[in-house]
Amino acid sequence: MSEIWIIVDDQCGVGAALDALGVPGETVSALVVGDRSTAEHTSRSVGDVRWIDAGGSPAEAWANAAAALVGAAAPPIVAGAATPGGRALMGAIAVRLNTPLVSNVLTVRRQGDGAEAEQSDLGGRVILTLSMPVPACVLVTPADVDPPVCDVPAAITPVEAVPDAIVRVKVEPGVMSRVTEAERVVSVGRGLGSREALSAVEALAAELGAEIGCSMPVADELGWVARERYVGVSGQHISPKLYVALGISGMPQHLFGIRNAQTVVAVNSDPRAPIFNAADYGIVGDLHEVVPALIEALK
Amino acid sequence: MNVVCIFKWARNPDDAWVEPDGSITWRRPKLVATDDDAAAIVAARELAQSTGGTLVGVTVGDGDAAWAFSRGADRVVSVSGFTPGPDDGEGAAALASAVRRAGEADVVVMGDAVDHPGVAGVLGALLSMPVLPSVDEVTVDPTDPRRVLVRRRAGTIVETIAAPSPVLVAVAAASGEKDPPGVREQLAARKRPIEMASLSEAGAPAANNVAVAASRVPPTRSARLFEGDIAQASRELVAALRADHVL
Repeated sequence: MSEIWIIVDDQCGVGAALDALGVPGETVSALVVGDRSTAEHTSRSVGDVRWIDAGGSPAEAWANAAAALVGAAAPPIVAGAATPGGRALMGAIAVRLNTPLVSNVLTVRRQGDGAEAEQSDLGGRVILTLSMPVPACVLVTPADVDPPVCDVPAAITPVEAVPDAIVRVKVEPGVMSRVTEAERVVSVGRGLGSREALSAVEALAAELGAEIGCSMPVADELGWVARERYVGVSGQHISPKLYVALGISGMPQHLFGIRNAQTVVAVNSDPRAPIFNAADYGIVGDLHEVVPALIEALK
Repeated sequence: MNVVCIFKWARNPDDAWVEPDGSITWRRPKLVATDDDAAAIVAARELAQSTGGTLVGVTVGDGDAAWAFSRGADRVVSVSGFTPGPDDGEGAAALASAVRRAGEADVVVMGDAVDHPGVAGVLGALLSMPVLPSVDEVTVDPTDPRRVLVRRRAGTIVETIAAPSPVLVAVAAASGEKDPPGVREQLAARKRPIEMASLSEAGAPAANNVAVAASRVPPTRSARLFEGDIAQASRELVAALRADHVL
């Protein structure tokens, strides 16, 4: 068994955890709590898979079982993605191993007798280098990171376990937010000024083949854009190829939702707006003038 | 149901000033209530009221108890001496010691802080309660008063999950706080007694020895700015995006 374990309850956790660990996948063991497809997806990128078939139960139901299994192996480092289920699993594991649980981890490595981790703090405004004893448990942010593929898929060993009495009683389709999968998003903030001004932005979005997004106040307080299009820490987390931020100041809560955007263009009349520190391109100006000018330039 | 609601257990990241060398200064080191805390106490209050139970507010550090009293708490327990750090396990241990002082709880409700995603999981394990994070709504199961139903978004679906009490639920705010208490309610709340203890009196365990060795500012994107005449700037921006294969 490996010295490093990852805990997986969703396929999005595999790449993120392995990316943070920075070691060959063959040297990593995985505990998968989920369905067969998640176990098979994980097996392509690690050296060993223990699999708890979650059946219809949410991952949270298996926290005690996961803690018992990992506790028996007692690896020095355990990493998991901060999905809802992952957080419950990792919390139970950390308590069983009597270890710290450090969140928002970017990287983690063995260092001498202990471990060293880089943690994103203050909404991404600072990176802390942490030293900690082992064993250590870390949570990483789920991300659309394709995990490297090993030469040979790992064996999958089913594990018999008993869940806690947590059951999924109903599943309904959610309100689809087209910004989630869009390759291009044009977002508006308070600087839009009025609901009526949105029509010009929609014309720009149409010209770009983009979906409309917004900051939280625009959806929540002002109601100019539907709530499922709100991008931010408690809204949609998106990773478009192009993100255009119009009249958005760039508060950390909003930037959290676009931290995986490939290219960010900012338009703001305030040259000191924090959004320009998170953008690749920018125009300092009134968006009500810039938007028609951009539409003209795109034609 | 006896409900415990945790509030004011983290600092506001916006209150921190980050120097160019990465060092951090807290302009306001106090622990603050977040929109998630507000959503949590609304959910907790409705759970308690719907079942004829009690609502106890629990906080750590130097949390202002009036915040919870003015939002419907019957009692408030405060454990002082806690400063949030990089280890969510340490924060959870402090909260666990405070929750235990509140007495027996059927449901523990807390705000689901994105900056500290590990706290809820560790706290539930320390309290020997199952944990349900990222919750939008929590109600009592109409078919079984000893069970709660939580509703939450999970990707493209909305799932309803049932769990027996005792259980810990972390509520994520869907919006800013609606209808905060008025001045009169807040002033009345300040007169109510708080049950206080220190971390050591509450039996919080020693820290896990996670130390900050260094801090730095992450690399920022250097925005290429186009200024001056708006029409010209817009043309130059579009040309740059095309040249860089973004468009």
